[in-house]
Amino acid sequence: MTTHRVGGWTILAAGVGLAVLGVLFSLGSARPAFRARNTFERFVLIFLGACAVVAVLTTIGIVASVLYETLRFFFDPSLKGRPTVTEFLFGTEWNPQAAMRADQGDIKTAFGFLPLLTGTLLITFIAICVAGPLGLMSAIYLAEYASPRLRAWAKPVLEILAGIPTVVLGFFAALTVAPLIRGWGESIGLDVASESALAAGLVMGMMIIPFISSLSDDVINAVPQSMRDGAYALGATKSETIRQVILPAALPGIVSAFMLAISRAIGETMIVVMAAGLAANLTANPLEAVTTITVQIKTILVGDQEFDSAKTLAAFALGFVLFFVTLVLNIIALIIVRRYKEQYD
Amino acid sequence: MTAATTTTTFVRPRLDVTSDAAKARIRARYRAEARFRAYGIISLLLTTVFVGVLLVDIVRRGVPAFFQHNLVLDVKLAPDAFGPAGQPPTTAAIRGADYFPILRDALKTAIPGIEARGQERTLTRLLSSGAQDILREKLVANPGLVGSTLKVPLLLSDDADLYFKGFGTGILSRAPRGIATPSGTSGEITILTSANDFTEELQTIKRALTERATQLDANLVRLRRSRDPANVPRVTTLEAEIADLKRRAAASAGKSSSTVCCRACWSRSTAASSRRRS
Repeated sequence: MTTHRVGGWTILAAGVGLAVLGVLFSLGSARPAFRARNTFERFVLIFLGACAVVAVLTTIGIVASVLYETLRFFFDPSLKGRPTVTEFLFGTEWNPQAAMRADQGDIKTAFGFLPLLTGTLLITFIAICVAGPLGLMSAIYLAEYASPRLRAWAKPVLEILAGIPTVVLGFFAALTVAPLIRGWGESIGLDVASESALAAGLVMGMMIIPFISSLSDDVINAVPQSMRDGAYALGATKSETIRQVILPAALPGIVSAFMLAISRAIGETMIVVMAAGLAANLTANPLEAVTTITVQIKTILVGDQEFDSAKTLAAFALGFVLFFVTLVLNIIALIIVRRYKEQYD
Repeated sequence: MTAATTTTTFVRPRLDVTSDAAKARIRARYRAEARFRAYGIISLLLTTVFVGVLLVDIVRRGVPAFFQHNLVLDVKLAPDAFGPAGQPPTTAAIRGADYFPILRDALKTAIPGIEARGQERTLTRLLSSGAQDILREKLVANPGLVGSTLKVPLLLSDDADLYFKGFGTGILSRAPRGIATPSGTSGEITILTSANDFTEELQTIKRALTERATQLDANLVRLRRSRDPANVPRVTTLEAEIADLKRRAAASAGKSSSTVCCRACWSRSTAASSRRRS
């Protein structure tokens, strides 16, 4: 027999042996004085604790690995072409390409992060402008006004929207929405890029509508009925009740829903990879092509650069900044919910 | 002894609900309520419309991928391509035969008159590269077909398939009003008609030329305004292009209506003949 097969049989024998030992142990422990329920309780507690610890350790591992590469990017003296932290955070030119060959004198390497940040924020802003009103009004209507029959088909539609893969949405944005916007713009006389931020922002807005809608629906339904009844008893119409009683009561939950939607939009990759441009552009015009942090991370890492160049490590720096921004947003959402949460009972 | 009690009755302030101003306020509040409801319904509708448009668009773009177009050709299978004449061909000989000249000859029989090398290459590129495999598998399954002329559907190439799915420029067929006289049957052909059969095409050509001239004009203005010395040769080329386009546009509109010329080369003669026949 070859070593491989001997090893296979050994593992099988060891597994069976362990199983038999375990059975014998548990059968031997089955005595009237043995408190099995307490032992099992402790076992379940340890198991659940282990699952939580795994999740925490994974997060710490991700942050640590990204942080390590980021520190190498900024502070490793043997790395050619790396920027300082202020150059990175406040520079206005993003051009990582030329970091490979220092003899190309006319192309200046620049690792300025600002155009990426403005591009991300522009697309996120357009997305929230679309998703905020639509999502919130859909949630209010479904929670307050809709009949059960209407709710029966409106909820599945929102769930279909939530389940569409982002690749398909990016495809749709690049092939249908962007040429449509370009055609409309040029018929009016505006100069629209073929990969405008407006197209990507619109489709991304439609993608995050289900987030805002379902979370807001839950918090609006959680407002106690007594507040509504009190408002109706005073003679308020339904819309006045919603605007002056329910929304202020549900505001922390709605704000945290918006924060989560914003952090989702900031971290979204596939739609912007397909529908937004590749060249960094420091602008506030939604009709121009901009690029985002996630697109640049993807562009840098999808390729065969070695991990020693400043260009590849720039992706880690971008990833760390992205993680930091979404972390701050989530913490703000948590603080708002915790501070302004109403205790009704 | 009676205690003098002075009671002050509490008079509830009367709300104004009957005056016209009050009624107007109430109506305004109900209108605001109706508007709010409408916003809710509109947002639900917009979301549903978006989901519907998305699904329909994706399905519409994806469904043509499930269809393939075939070209039914009469393929002459000469026995001498499959081994020495007289003997029935072996499976190895069928598998190893060269099907490219067989298909090329079949295409040339179906579309006669192709002489030039470049056009012959375009002709053979009508069929997919898998067409040879289709023929080969058919013969391997039925070796008795060697020697006959087989009517076989062959897979079209990508570009030809996409053309039939509507992704190329189309061919217009229109009933002519005059008699067309071509100047020949091969090479560059001039077709003269006795009526204004080509006016619409001329209008389209003229409009396209003027549009292109306007586009180049805008480019020219932008380049001139930049005052960059590196752009000067580009500016002169652009000016020449614009002048040429404008001249062609004027010339295409200026022909007299009784005899209109249209230059057509071989590949468009099928369109011309369909115009002649229809």
